[in-house]
Amino acid sequence: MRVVIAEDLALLRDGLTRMLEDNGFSVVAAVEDGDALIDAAEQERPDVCVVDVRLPPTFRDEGIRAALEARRRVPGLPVLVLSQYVERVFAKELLADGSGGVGYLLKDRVAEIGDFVDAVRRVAAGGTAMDPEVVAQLVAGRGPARLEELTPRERDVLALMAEGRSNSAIAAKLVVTEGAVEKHVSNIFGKLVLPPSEDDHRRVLAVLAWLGE
Amino acid sequence: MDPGARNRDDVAMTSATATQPAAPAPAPSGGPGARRRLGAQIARDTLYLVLSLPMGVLAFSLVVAGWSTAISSLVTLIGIPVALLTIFVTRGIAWVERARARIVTGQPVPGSYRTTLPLHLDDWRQGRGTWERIKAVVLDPQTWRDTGYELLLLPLGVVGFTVAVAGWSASLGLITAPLWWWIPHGTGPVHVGGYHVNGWAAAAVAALLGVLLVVVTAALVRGLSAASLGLVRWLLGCDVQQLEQRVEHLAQTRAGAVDAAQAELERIERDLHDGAQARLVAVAMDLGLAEQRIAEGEDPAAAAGLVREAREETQRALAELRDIARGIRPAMLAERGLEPALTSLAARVGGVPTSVTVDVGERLPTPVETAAYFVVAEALTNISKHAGASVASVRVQRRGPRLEIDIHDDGRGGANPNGTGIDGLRKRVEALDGTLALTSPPGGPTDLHVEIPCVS
Repeated sequence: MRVVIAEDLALLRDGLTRMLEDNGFSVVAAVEDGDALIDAAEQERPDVCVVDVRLPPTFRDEGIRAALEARRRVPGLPVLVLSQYVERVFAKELLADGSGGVGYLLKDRVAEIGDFVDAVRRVAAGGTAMDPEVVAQLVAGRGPARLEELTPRERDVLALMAEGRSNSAIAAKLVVTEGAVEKHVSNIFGKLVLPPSEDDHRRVLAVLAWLGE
Repeated sequence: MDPGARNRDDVAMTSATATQPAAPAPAPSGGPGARRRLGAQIARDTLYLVLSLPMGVLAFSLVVAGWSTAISSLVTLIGIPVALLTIFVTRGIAWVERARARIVTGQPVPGSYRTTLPLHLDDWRQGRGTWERIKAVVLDPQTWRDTGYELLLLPLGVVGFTVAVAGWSASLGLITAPLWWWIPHGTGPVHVGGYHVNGWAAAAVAALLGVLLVVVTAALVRGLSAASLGLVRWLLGCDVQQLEQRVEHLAQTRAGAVDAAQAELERIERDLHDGAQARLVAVAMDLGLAEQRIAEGEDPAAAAGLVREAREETQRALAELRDIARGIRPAMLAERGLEPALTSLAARVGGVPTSVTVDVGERLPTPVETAAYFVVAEALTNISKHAGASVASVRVQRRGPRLEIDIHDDGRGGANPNGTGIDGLRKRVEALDGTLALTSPPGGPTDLHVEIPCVS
């Protein structure tokens, strides 16, 4: 699987490169700024890009803007954005086109190598990977009114689903059967009046769209 | 003495032309309302001048008696409370004088005291800063402006009282001369207002002269009162223009302080983001990889290498956090004070042998100490980076209410007084109402002189 990394700090650029290559990825380009990311995405057509939010020259949200521009030029380009802190607005901007293949994680998550690598693969496959903190912010932003109808268990499932996890991953995490998870999911969709869908990715996007409204 | 309402109206009619130059008040623009206002104004002026005499006598005697007692008993220390009491009384009289001026002009005269009296009892009990406060009260310029005004009030009151009383009573006498001639009187002339009336013609002339004297008296009263009120504004009021300049200066330095604080916060945030935070992420990543390798049971040497790398990275992160903390408030400064902090700073910056002399007595207020520290830190960093100096010196000393910092190096000079480093320092110093001057001719030497007030 071919990856492009955009990270301005050499220490982290090298660390990410090593970690991804250790786990079977091939890093085709490791760049330092947004323009270089867009160029690399156009030339290399990677399977996924891993991008730091803060890049030169402004060190604000350069990474998000470069990632969105790269996705505009290379439609469907999967992008996983890493950040020192999470911002609901950035998540919404990434999700805005509703096509999936996006992720937004705290940098801290790279330490959980297994989870992180899983998230990169998920995004590369057109899924989503949302940091639990982003999901928490989205849930908080949605307000408790509609969520009150959900049972605590359903809320757990909703949060894990919003992170982009598959039914089997949710089942493993909550230590229940996949069938039980599927039942919770259909209850959630019924209570929130969301269109049912068989496709995992579409379901996640529907949940995120609902949360981000 | 009071010329009466009719007379005042007459005066007003003529005064429109006759007294205008002498009267700084807005000239009446005709109409009964304006005339009545001018009449009332002149009545107030008269009353003001007449009352100035007793006020002047009272103020003069209290001030002179108070200060002579205070000075003569100064050796026994009783003089100090007496002096404070005198100043307190002086302020009381000044307060009455401002109130009188406000009644006459309708405009308040704000005083500009830097200190308040009486001293708070708590200060006395705790012996805290009592001396400082007494000194501040005695050195308060308004204290001496009050005193000066109150000494001048006596001669002014004498002149004002004399002119007003003599002028109005002579006017009244002259105008009423025909009356005195008409009512039964003994043989010979009637003496009115220093004038001999010996017939109807003379009485008529006297009355005319009386009208003229009303005009002259009104003008004099108006003028003297205006001069007296001007003195009140000058000595008892505050200098508005100076205040405006001060406000302007404070607004600028405040904006500068906000800018400097913001820039400082951004720098700290960047340092954290690029430094310690990034290092800790790298550490976490290394440890994650090591964990993965150990779990897979392969290549323990590689895992050990990753763990070692992580440990080294942790140490670098710690060092960076320490530097950042020092950049906010150096531990040495907080714990030991300016001299040890500066000595250790000079040793740490290194490169150029630097002598440090600190003579500040007690600990200074924290903001002053911190500013002084960073001024020296920035200056020494610049010297070691750019000056090419062979020797440098730092001298910090307290002179009265100010802290003076002098930093000298024998390097190549040519430092830009508007460079970002110096500008940041200037904002930091100006935020504390201090000043910064840089002299750095090409070829050197370079002198940085900073003064910061220590009294909060």
